[in-house]
Amino acid sequence: MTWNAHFSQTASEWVNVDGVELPASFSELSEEVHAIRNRVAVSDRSFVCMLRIQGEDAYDFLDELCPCDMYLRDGEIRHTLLLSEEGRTLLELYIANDDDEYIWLSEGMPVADVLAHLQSYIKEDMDVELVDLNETHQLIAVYGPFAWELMAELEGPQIIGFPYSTFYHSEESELTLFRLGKTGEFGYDLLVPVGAAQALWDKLLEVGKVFDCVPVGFRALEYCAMENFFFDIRHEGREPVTPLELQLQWRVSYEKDYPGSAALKDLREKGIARRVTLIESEASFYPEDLLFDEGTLVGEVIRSMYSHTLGTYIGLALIDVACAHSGLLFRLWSDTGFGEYCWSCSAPFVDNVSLFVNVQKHSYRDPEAVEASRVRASLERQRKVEERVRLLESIDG
Amino acid sequence: MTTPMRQKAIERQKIIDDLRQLLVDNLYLQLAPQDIDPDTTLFGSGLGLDSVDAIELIVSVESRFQVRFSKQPEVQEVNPKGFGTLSEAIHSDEQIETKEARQVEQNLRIHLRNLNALTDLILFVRRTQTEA
Repeated sequence: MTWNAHFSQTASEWVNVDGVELPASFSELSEEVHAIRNRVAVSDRSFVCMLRIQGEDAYDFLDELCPCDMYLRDGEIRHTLLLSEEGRTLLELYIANDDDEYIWLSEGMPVADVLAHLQSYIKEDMDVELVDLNETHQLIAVYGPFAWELMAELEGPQIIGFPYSTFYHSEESELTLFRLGKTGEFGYDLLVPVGAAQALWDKLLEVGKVFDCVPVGFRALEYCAMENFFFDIRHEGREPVTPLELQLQWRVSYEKDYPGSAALKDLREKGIARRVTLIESEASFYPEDLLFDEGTLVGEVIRSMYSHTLGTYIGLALIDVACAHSGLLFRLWSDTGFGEYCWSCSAPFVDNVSLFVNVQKHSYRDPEAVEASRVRASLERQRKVEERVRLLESIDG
Repeated sequence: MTTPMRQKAIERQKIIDDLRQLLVDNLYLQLAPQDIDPDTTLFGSGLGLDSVDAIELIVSVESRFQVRFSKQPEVQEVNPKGFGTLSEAIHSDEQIETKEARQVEQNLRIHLRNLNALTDLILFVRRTQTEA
Protein backbone atom coordinates (compact mmCIF):
# COMPACT_ATOMS: atom_id res chain seq x y z
CA MET A 1 0.00 0.00 0.00
CA THR A 2 1.33 3.47 -0.86
CA TRP A 3 1.69 6.12 1.83
CA ASN A 4 -1.32 8.14 0.65
CA ALA A 5 -3.47 5.04 0.16
CA HIS A 6 -2.96 4.49 3.88
CA PHE A 7 -5.11 7.60 4.47
CA SER A 8 -7.74 6.91 1.80
CA GLN A 9 -10.32 5.73 4.31
CA THR A 10 -9.67 8.39 6.93
CA ALA A 11 -8.74 11.68 5.20
CA SER A 12 -11.74 13.92 4.51
CA GLU A 13 -9.98 16.48 2.31
CA TRP A 14 -6.71 16.58 0.37
CA VAL A 15 -4.34 19.40 -0.47
CA ASN A 16 -1.29 19.86 -2.67
CA VAL A 17 1.57 21.48 -0.76
CA ASP A 18 4.81 22.20 -2.59
CA GLY A 19 3.89 19.55 -5.17
CA VAL A 20 2.96 16.86 -2.63
CA GLU A 21 -0.57 15.51 -2.16
CA LEU A 22 -1.42 14.96 1.49
CA PRO A 23 -4.41 15.01 3.84
CA ALA A 24 -5.70 18.53 4.45
CA SER A 25 -7.99 17.24 7.20
CA PHE A 26 -9.37 14.11 8.81
CA SER A 27 -12.24 15.75 10.73
CA GLU A 28 -13.58 19.22 11.55
CA LEU A 29 -10.84 21.84 11.75
CA SER A 30 -11.96 22.96 15.21
CA GLU A 31 -11.70 19.38 16.51
CA GLU A 32 -8.21 18.94 15.06
CA VAL A 33 -7.03 22.26 16.51
CA HIS A 34 -8.49 21.27 19.89
CA ALA A 35 -6.51 18.01 19.79
CA ILE A 36 -3.24 19.85 19.07
CA ARG A 37 -3.95 22.44 21.75
CA ASN A 38 -5.06 20.07 24.50
CA ARG A 39 -3.98 16.48 23.85
CA VAL A 40 -1.79 14.86 21.19
CA ALA A 41 -2.11 14.75 17.41
CA VAL A 42 -0.15 13.05 14.63
CA SER A 43 0.23 14.48 11.16
CA ASP A 44 1.83 13.76 7.80
CA ARG A 45 4.59 16.28 7.05
CA SER A 46 5.80 14.69 3.81
CA PHE A 47 5.53 18.08 2.05
CA VAL A 48 8.77 19.12 3.76
CA CYS A 49 11.79 18.93 1.44
CA MET A 50 14.28 16.65 3.21
CA LEU A 51 17.86 16.45 1.99
CA ARG A 52 21.15 15.16 3.29
CA ILE A 53 24.03 17.41 2.25
CA GLN A 54 27.38 15.68 2.44
CA GLY A 55 30.89 15.88 1.08
CA GLU A 56 34.15 17.61 2.07
CA ASP A 57 32.77 21.03 1.15
CA ALA A 58 29.26 20.69 2.59
CA TYR A 59 29.95 23.29 5.31
CA ASP A 60 31.49 25.83 2.92
CA PHE A 61 28.67 25.35 0.42
CA LEU A 62 25.98 25.95 3.05
CA ASP A 63 27.90 28.80 4.63
CA GLU A 64 27.93 30.63 1.30
CA LEU A 65 24.23 30.00 0.69
CA CYS A 66 22.53 30.29 4.09
CA PRO A 67 21.89 33.64 5.78
CA CYS A 68 22.59 32.31 9.28
CA ASP A 69 25.79 31.63 11.19
CA MET A 70 26.52 28.03 10.19
CA TYR A 71 28.47 27.08 13.30
CA LEU A 72 26.33 24.24 14.68
CA ARG A 73 27.11 21.59 17.26
CA ASP A 74 26.46 17.99 16.28
CA GLY A 75 22.75 17.37 16.88
CA GLU A 76 21.82 21.07 16.80
CA ILE A 77 19.21 22.55 14.44
CA ARG A 78 19.17 26.17 13.25
CA HIS A 79 16.12 28.01 11.93
CA THR A 80 16.91 30.15 8.92
CA LEU A 81 15.69 31.08 5.43
CA LEU A 82 16.83 30.99 1.87
CA LEU A 83 16.67 34.41 0.23
CA SER A 84 16.54 35.79 -3.29
CA GLU A 85 19.14 38.36 -4.36
CA GLU A 86 16.46 40.99 -3.53
CA GLY A 87 16.33 39.72 0.05
CA ARG A 88 12.86 38.15 -0.31
CA THR A 89 12.12 34.80 1.33
CA LEU A 90 12.33 31.82 -1.04
CA LEU A 91 12.30 29.03 1.53
CA GLU A 92 11.81 28.47 5.21
CA LEU A 93 14.73 26.32 6.24
CA TYR A 94 15.94 24.22 9.17
CA ILE A 95 19.55 23.05 9.01
CA ALA A 96 20.80 20.28 11.29
CA ASN A 97 24.40 19.25 11.85
CA ASP A 98 24.65 15.46 11.68
CA ASP A 99 28.29 14.68 12.43
CA ASP A 100 29.51 17.27 9.89
CA GLU A 101 26.98 16.23 7.32
CA TYR A 102 23.83 18.31 7.20
CA ILE A 103 20.13 17.53 7.18
CA TRP A 104 18.11 20.10 5.27
CA LEU A 105 14.39 20.53 6.03
CA SER A 106 12.70 23.22 3.95
CA GLU A 107 9.24 24.45 3.04
CA GLY A 108 8.07 26.67 0.22
CA MET A 109 9.29 24.96 -2.94
CA PRO A 110 8.91 21.47 -4.52
CA VAL A 111 11.86 19.13 -3.93
CA ALA A 112 12.94 19.14 -7.59
CA ASP A 113 13.06 22.94 -7.60
CA VAL A 114 15.07 23.02 -4.36
CA LEU A 115 17.56 20.55 -5.81
CA ALA A 116 17.91 22.57 -9.02
CA HIS A 117 18.34 25.77 -7.02
CA LEU A 118 21.04 24.25 -4.82
CA GLN A 119 22.85 22.65 -7.78
CA SER A 120 23.17 26.08 -9.37
CA TYR A 121 25.22 27.23 -6.36
CA ILE A 122 27.62 24.25 -6.25
CA LYS A 123 30.93 25.37 -7.75
CA GLU A 124 32.82 23.01 -10.05
CA ASP A 125 35.62 22.36 -7.58
CA MET A 126 33.29 21.70 -4.65
CA ASP A 127 32.84 18.22 -3.19
CA VAL A 128 29.14 18.42 -2.30
CA GLU A 129 26.50 15.71 -2.67
CA LEU A 130 22.76 16.30 -2.33
CA VAL A 131 20.81 13.21 -1.25
CA ASP A 132 17.02 13.40 -1.61
CA LEU A 133 15.57 11.86 1.57
CA ASN A 134 12.00 12.26 0.29
CA GLU A 135 12.68 9.25 -1.95
CA THR A 136 13.44 7.03 1.01
CA HIS A 137 11.76 8.57 4.06
CA GLN A 138 8.56 10.06 5.41
CA LEU A 139 8.19 12.76 8.04
CA ILE A 140 5.55 12.22 10.73
CA ALA A 141 4.72 14.89 13.31
CA VAL A 142 3.60 14.34 16.90
CA TYR A 143 2.32 17.58 18.42
CA GLY A 144 0.43 18.60 21.56
CA PRO A 145 0.92 19.46 25.25
CA PHE A 146 1.26 15.74 26.01
CA ALA A 147 3.24 14.74 22.91
CA TRP A 148 6.26 14.22 25.17
CA GLU A 149 4.34 11.62 27.14
CA LEU A 150 3.37 9.65 24.06
CA MET A 151 6.94 9.83 22.75
CA ALA A 152 8.25 8.65 26.13
CA GLU A 153 6.03 5.57 25.82
CA LEU A 154 7.62 4.85 22.44
CA GLU A 155 11.22 5.90 22.96
CA GLY A 156 11.74 5.89 26.72
CA PRO A 157 11.82 8.62 29.40
CA GLN A 158 15.09 10.15 28.13
CA ILE A 159 13.04 11.96 25.49
CA ILE A 160 11.44 14.18 28.14
CA GLY A 161 14.60 16.27 28.55
CA PHE A 162 15.24 16.51 24.83
CA PRO A 163 15.73 20.27 24.09
CA TYR A 164 13.94 22.19 21.36
CA SER A 165 15.90 22.60 18.09
CA THR A 166 17.93 19.43 18.55
CA PHE A 167 17.70 15.95 17.08
CA TYR A 168 19.07 12.46 17.54
CA HIS A 169 19.11 9.10 15.80
CA SER A 170 17.31 6.48 17.83
CA GLU A 171 19.46 3.41 18.33
CA GLU A 172 16.52 1.14 19.07
CA SER A 173 14.27 2.20 16.21
CA GLU A 174 15.13 3.44 12.72
CA LEU A 175 13.94 6.92 13.59
CA THR A 176 15.60 10.28 13.53
CA LEU A 177 13.76 12.47 16.04
CA PHE A 178 13.69 16.23 15.59
CA ARG A 179 12.45 18.27 18.54
CA LEU A 180 10.67 20.84 16.40
CA GLY A 181 7.18 21.98 15.51
CA LYS A 182 5.32 25.15 14.72
CA THR A 183 2.22 24.87 16.89
CA GLY A 184 3.57 26.32 20.15
CA GLU A 185 2.93 22.98 21.83
CA PHE A 186 5.45 20.19 22.43
CA GLY A 187 6.48 18.87 19.03
CA TYR A 188 8.47 16.05 17.47
CA ASP A 189 9.10 15.39 13.78
CA LEU A 190 9.98 11.77 13.12
CA LEU A 191 12.05 10.93 10.03
CA VAL A 192 11.26 7.32 9.26
CA PRO A 193 12.20 4.99 6.36
CA VAL A 194 9.32 4.64 3.88
CA GLY A 195 9.00 0.93 4.62
CA ALA A 196 8.43 1.54 8.33
CA ALA A 197 6.25 4.68 8.06
CA GLN A 198 2.80 3.07 7.94
CA ALA A 199 3.56 0.83 10.91
CA LEU A 200 4.85 3.83 12.89
CA TRP A 201 1.73 5.88 12.07
CA ASP A 202 -0.51 3.04 13.24
CA LYS A 203 1.57 2.49 16.36
CA LEU A 204 1.41 6.17 17.31
CA LEU A 205 -2.38 6.10 17.07
CA GLU A 206 -2.60 2.81 18.94
CA VAL A 207 -0.28 3.82 21.80
CA GLY A 208 -1.83 7.28 21.64
CA LYS A 209 -5.33 6.06 22.45
CA VAL A 210 -4.71 6.68 26.12
CA PHE A 211 -3.90 10.31 25.21
CA ASP A 212 -6.97 10.65 22.94
CA CYS A 213 -4.52 11.08 20.08
CA VAL A 214 -6.03 11.73 16.64
CA PRO A 215 -4.65 12.31 13.12
CA VAL A 216 -4.76 15.91 11.95
CA GLY A 217 -4.25 17.38 8.49
CA PHE A 218 -2.16 20.15 7.00
CA ARG A 219 -4.88 22.77 7.59
CA ALA A 220 -4.73 22.33 11.37
CA LEU A 221 -0.92 22.63 11.38
CA GLU A 222 -1.07 25.79 9.28
CA TYR A 223 -3.76 27.17 11.54
CA CYS A 224 -1.91 26.51 14.80
CA ALA A 225 1.28 28.00 13.35
CA MET A 226 -0.62 31.21 12.66
CA GLU A 227 -2.09 31.29 16.18
CA ASN A 228 1.49 31.21 17.48
CA PHE A 229 2.96 33.66 14.95
CA PHE A 230 5.26 31.09 13.38
CA PHE A 231 6.46 32.31 10.01
CA ASP A 232 4.50 30.85 7.09
CA ILE A 233 6.37 30.87 3.78
CA ARG A 234 3.13 30.27 1.87
CA HIS A 235 1.38 33.37 3.25
CA GLU A 236 3.37 36.30 4.64
CA GLY A 237 6.48 34.74 3.08
CA ARG A 238 5.07 35.53 -0.37
CA GLU A 239 4.54 39.23 0.37
CA PRO A 240 7.02 41.59 -1.32
CA VAL A 241 8.96 42.08 1.91
CA THR A 242 12.21 40.95 3.53
CA PRO A 243 13.14 39.42 6.91
CA LEU A 244 13.35 42.96 8.30
CA GLU A 245 9.65 43.66 7.77
CA LEU A 246 8.77 40.08 8.74
CA GLN A 247 10.48 40.32 12.15
CA LEU A 248 12.83 37.52 11.11
CA GLN A 249 16.15 39.28 11.63
CA TRP A 250 17.05 36.60 14.21
CA ARG A 251 17.31 34.13 11.33
CA VAL A 252 19.86 36.12 9.34
CA SER A 253 23.36 37.44 9.90
CA TYR A 254 24.73 40.83 8.89
CA GLU A 255 28.28 39.54 9.42
CA LYS A 256 28.63 37.47 6.25
CA ASP A 257 27.82 37.47 2.54
CA TYR A 258 25.11 35.27 1.00
CA PRO A 259 22.42 35.64 -1.68
CA GLY A 260 20.30 38.59 -0.56
CA SER A 261 22.78 39.94 2.02
CA ALA A 262 23.55 43.14 0.09
CA ALA A 263 19.85 43.94 -0.22
CA LEU A 264 19.29 43.32 3.50
CA LYS A 265 22.26 45.43 4.57
CA ASP A 266 21.08 48.25 2.30
CA LEU A 267 17.55 48.13 3.71
CA ARG A 268 18.86 47.94 7.27
CA GLU A 269 20.85 51.09 6.59
CA LYS A 270 17.86 52.95 5.13
CA GLY A 271 15.30 51.60 7.61
CA ILE A 272 12.02 49.84 6.88
CA ALA A 273 8.73 51.64 6.33
CA ARG A 274 6.37 48.90 7.56
CA ARG A 275 6.55 45.91 9.87
CA VAL A 276 4.38 42.81 10.18
CA THR A 277 2.24 43.18 13.30
CA LEU A 278 -0.32 40.90 14.94
CA ILE A 279 -3.91 42.16 14.99
CA GLU A 280 -7.11 40.80 16.51
CA SER A 281 -10.76 41.79 16.31
CA GLU A 282 -14.19 40.60 17.33
CA ALA A 283 -15.33 41.34 13.78
CA SER A 284 -14.17 39.55 10.64
CA PHE A 285 -11.56 41.20 8.43
CA TYR A 286 -9.71 40.14 5.31
CA PRO A 287 -6.45 40.61 3.38
CA GLU A 288 -6.31 44.03 1.69
CA ASP A 289 -8.55 45.60 4.34
CA LEU A 290 -6.93 48.83 5.56
CA LEU A 291 -6.10 50.11 9.05
CA PHE A 292 -6.66 53.70 10.06
CA ASP A 293 -5.72 55.81 13.05
CA GLU A 294 -8.15 58.75 13.21
CA GLY A 295 -8.38 59.19 9.46
CA THR A 296 -4.74 58.41 8.69
CA LEU A 297 -3.95 55.23 6.79
CA VAL A 298 -1.38 53.28 8.82
CA GLY A 299 -1.47 49.71 7.47
CA GLU A 300 -2.94 46.91 5.43
CA VAL A 301 -4.10 43.42 6.40
CA ILE A 302 -2.11 40.65 4.71
CA ARG A 303 -3.58 37.60 6.44
CA SER A 304 -6.65 36.75 8.51
CA MET A 305 -8.55 33.85 9.99
CA TYR A 306 -11.04 32.97 12.70
CA SER A 307 -9.32 31.53 15.78
CA HIS A 308 -11.24 28.64 17.25
CA THR A 309 -8.94 28.73 20.26
CA LEU A 310 -9.69 32.38 21.06
CA GLY A 311 -13.13 32.91 19.54
CA THR A 312 -11.95 36.06 17.75
CA TYR A 313 -10.55 36.96 14.33
CA ILE A 314 -6.79 37.17 14.15
CA GLY A 315 -4.43 38.31 11.44
CA LEU A 316 -1.27 39.98 10.32
CA ALA A 317 -0.96 43.50 8.99
CA LEU A 318 1.88 45.48 7.51
CA ILE A 319 1.81 48.63 9.64
CA ASP A 320 3.87 51.84 9.44
CA VAL A 321 6.78 51.34 11.84
CA ALA A 322 5.76 54.36 13.90
CA CYS A 323 2.53 52.53 14.76
CA ALA A 324 3.72 48.92 14.55
CA HIS A 325 3.38 48.21 18.26
CA SER A 326 1.15 45.99 20.35
CA GLY A 327 -1.57 47.44 22.56
CA LEU A 328 -2.96 49.93 20.01
CA LEU A 329 -6.39 50.26 18.42
CA PHE A 330 -7.00 50.79 14.71
CA ARG A 331 -10.18 51.20 12.67
CA LEU A 332 -10.67 48.63 9.93
CA TRP A 333 -11.70 49.76 6.45
CA SER A 334 -12.94 47.41 3.72
CA ASP A 335 -14.76 47.79 0.39
CA THR A 336 -17.95 48.53 2.30
CA GLY A 337 -16.41 51.38 4.27
CA PHE A 338 -15.23 51.78 7.86
CA GLY A 339 -15.96 48.83 10.12
CA GLU A 340 -15.01 47.70 13.61
CA TYR A 341 -11.82 48.29 15.55
CA CYS A 342 -8.97 45.83 15.70
CA TRP A 343 -6.22 45.88 18.29
CA SER A 344 -2.56 45.04 17.83
CA CYS A 345 -1.07 42.46 20.16
CA SER A 346 2.20 40.85 21.14
CA ALA A 347 3.12 37.42 19.87
CA PRO A 348 1.82 34.82 20.15
CA PHE A 349 -1.96 35.12 19.92
CA VAL A 350 -2.55 32.11 22.19
CA ASP A 351 -1.08 31.11 25.52
CA ASN A 352 -0.20 27.47 24.95
CA VAL A 353 -1.24 24.80 27.42
CA SER A 354 2.26 23.33 26.98
CA LEU A 355 3.70 26.34 28.82
CA PHE A 356 1.83 25.24 31.93
CA VAL A 357 2.52 21.53 31.68
CA ASN A 358 5.31 20.38 34.00
CA VAL A 359 6.81 17.25 32.45
CA GLN A 360 8.22 16.24 35.85
CA LYS A 361 4.83 16.33 37.59
CA HIS A 362 2.01 16.19 35.09
CA SER A 363 0.49 13.37 33.08
CA TYR A 364 -2.41 13.23 30.65
CA ARG A 365 -3.68 10.39 32.82
CA ASP A 366 -4.15 12.89 35.67
CA PRO A 367 -7.22 14.94 34.66
CA GLU A 368 -6.71 17.47 37.47
CA ALA A 369 -3.25 18.36 36.21
CA VAL A 370 -4.55 18.69 32.67
CA GLU A 371 -7.36 20.94 33.81
CA ALA A 372 -5.01 23.05 35.94
CA SER A 373 -2.79 23.67 32.90
CA ARG A 374 -5.79 24.69 30.83
CA VAL A 375 -7.03 27.02 33.57
CA ARG A 376 -3.61 28.73 33.82
CA ALA A 377 -3.61 29.26 30.06
CA SER A 378 -7.16 30.64 30.09
CA LEU A 379 -6.35 32.99 33.01
CA GLU A 380 -3.55 34.53 30.95
CA ARG A 381 -6.01 34.95 28.14
CA GLN A 382 -8.51 36.61 30.47
CA ARG A 383 -5.89 39.16 31.52
CA LYS A 384 -5.31 40.07 27.88
CA VAL A 385 -9.06 40.40 27.27
CA GLU A 386 -9.34 42.79 30.23
CA GLU A 387 -6.54 44.92 28.79
CA ARG A 388 -8.33 45.04 25.46
CA VAL A 389 -11.63 46.04 27.09
CA ARG A 390 -9.78 48.88 28.80
CA LEU A 391 -8.40 49.98 25.44
CA LEU A 392 -11.83 49.93 23.82
CA GLU A 393 -13.32 51.86 26.74
CA SER A 394 -10.64 54.52 26.32
CA ILE A 395 -11.86 55.05 22.75
CA ASP A 396 -15.54 55.13 23.78
CA GLY A 397 -14.66 57.65 26.46
CA MET B 1 -0.99 65.42 14.37
CA THR B 2 -0.25 63.34 17.47
CA THR B 3 -3.23 61.11 18.17
CA PRO B 4 -3.70 59.16 21.43
CA MET B 5 -2.58 56.02 19.58
CA ARG B 6 0.56 57.77 18.30
CA GLN B 7 1.34 58.87 21.85
CA LYS B 8 0.96 55.30 23.06
CA ALA B 9 3.17 54.13 20.19
CA ILE B 10 5.86 56.65 21.13
CA GLU B 11 5.74 55.53 24.77
CA ARG B 12 6.04 51.87 23.71
CA GLN B 13 8.86 52.63 21.27
CA LYS B 14 10.85 54.27 24.06
CA ILE B 15 10.42 51.23 26.31
CA ILE B 16 11.40 48.86 23.49
CA ASP B 17 14.49 50.93 22.68
CA ASP B 18 15.50 50.83 26.36
CA LEU B 19 14.87 47.08 26.54
CA ARG B 20 16.97 46.48 23.43
CA GLN B 21 19.85 48.44 24.91
CA LEU B 22 19.44 46.61 28.21
CA LEU B 23 19.66 43.23 26.43
CA VAL B 24 22.87 44.27 24.71
CA ASP B 25 24.48 45.93 27.77
CA ASN B 26 23.39 43.60 30.59
CA LEU B 27 22.89 40.29 28.83
CA TYR B 28 25.73 40.80 26.35
CA LEU B 29 23.74 39.90 23.25
CA GLN B 30 26.05 40.10 20.25
CA LEU B 31 23.55 42.09 18.21
CA ALA B 32 22.95 45.70 17.31
CA PRO B 33 19.92 46.89 19.31
CA GLN B 34 17.86 47.64 16.18
CA ASP B 35 18.30 44.05 14.99
CA ILE B 36 16.17 42.73 17.86
CA ASP B 37 12.61 42.63 16.51
CA PRO B 38 9.75 43.34 18.96
CA ASP B 39 8.07 39.93 18.57
CA THR B 40 11.21 37.79 18.33
CA THR B 41 11.29 35.06 20.95
CA LEU B 42 13.97 35.94 23.49
CA PHE B 43 14.50 32.40 24.74
CA GLY B 44 15.35 29.10 23.09
CA SER B 45 15.33 29.12 19.31
CA GLY B 46 14.94 32.90 18.97
CA LEU B 47 17.73 34.90 20.61
CA GLY B 48 18.84 31.89 22.62
CA LEU B 49 18.57 33.29 26.15
CA ASP B 50 18.33 30.80 29.03
CA SER B 51 16.82 30.74 32.52
CA VAL B 52 19.85 32.45 34.08
CA ASP B 53 19.45 35.25 31.54
CA ALA B 54 15.76 35.43 32.44
CA ILE B 55 16.54 36.22 36.07
CA GLU B 56 19.11 38.82 35.03
CA LEU B 57 16.55 40.30 32.66
CA ILE B 58 13.88 40.56 35.38
CA VAL B 59 16.29 42.18 37.81
CA SER B 60 17.55 44.63 35.18
CA VAL B 61 14.03 45.57 34.12
CA GLU B 62 12.91 46.14 37.72
CA SER B 63 15.87 48.41 38.25
CA ARG B 64 15.74 50.27 34.94
CA PHE B 65 11.96 50.83 34.82
CA GLN B 66 11.30 51.16 38.58
CA VAL B 67 8.67 48.43 38.50
CA ARG B 68 8.17 45.73 41.09
CA PHE B 69 7.26 42.42 39.58
CA SER B 70 7.41 40.85 43.04
CA LYS B 71 4.30 42.82 43.99
CA GLN B 72 2.30 40.93 41.37
CA PRO B 73 -0.02 38.26 42.84
CA GLU B 74 1.51 35.53 40.70
CA VAL B 75 4.93 36.35 42.11
CA GLN B 76 3.94 37.14 45.71
CA GLU B 77 3.02 33.56 46.38
CA VAL B 78 6.66 32.60 45.95
CA ASN B 79 8.01 35.69 47.70
CA PRO B 80 6.80 35.10 51.27
CA LYS B 81 9.46 37.32 52.79
CA GLY B 82 7.86 40.25 51.01
CA PHE B 83 10.91 41.78 49.39
CA GLY B 84 10.13 44.95 47.49
CA THR B 85 11.83 43.85 44.31
CA LEU B 86 13.28 40.65 43.02
CA SER B 87 16.61 42.44 42.95
CA GLU B 88 16.44 42.99 46.73
CA ALA B 89 15.45 39.37 47.24
CA ILE B 90 18.34 38.02 45.22
CA HIS B 91 20.93 40.24 46.84
CA SER B 92 19.78 39.44 50.37
CA ASP B 93 20.09 35.68 50.41
CA GLU B 94 21.89 33.13 48.27
CA GLN B 95 19.10 30.61 48.91
CA ILE B 96 16.60 32.92 47.32
CA GLU B 97 18.64 33.18 44.19
CA THR B 98 18.52 29.47 43.63
CA LYS B 99 14.98 28.84 44.75
CA GLU B 100 12.58 31.74 44.77
CA ALA B 101 14.17 33.67 41.93
CA ARG B 102 13.87 30.65 39.70
CA GLN B 103 10.22 30.27 40.66
CA VAL B 104 9.60 33.94 39.95
CA GLU B 105 11.34 33.55 36.62
CA GLN B 106 9.15 30.58 35.75
CA ASN B 107 6.01 32.45 36.73
CA LEU B 108 7.00 35.47 34.70
CA ARG B 109 8.43 33.54 31.74
CA ILE B 110 5.21 33.85 29.75
CA HIS B 111 5.58 37.66 29.91
CA LEU B 112 9.24 37.59 28.93
CA ARG B 113 8.72 35.93 25.57
CA ASN B 114 9.54 38.97 23.50
CA LEU B 115 9.99 42.72 23.74
CA ASN B 116 6.35 43.47 22.98
CA ALA B 117 5.11 41.12 25.71
CA LEU B 118 7.63 42.54 28.16
CA THR B 119 6.50 46.07 27.28
CA ASP B 120 2.89 44.99 27.93
CA LEU B 121 3.97 43.74 31.36
CA ILE B 122 5.94 46.88 32.26
CA LEU B 123 3.01 49.13 31.34
CA PHE B 124 0.58 46.86 33.22
CA VAL B 125 2.71 46.88 36.39
CA ARG B 126 3.28 50.63 36.17
CA ARG B 127 -0.46 51.20 35.98
CA THR B 128 -1.30 48.87 38.85
CA GLN B 129 1.42 50.50 40.98
CA THR B 130 0.00 53.95 40.21
CA GLU B 131 -3.54 52.81 41.00
CA ALA B 132 -2.35 51.27 44.27
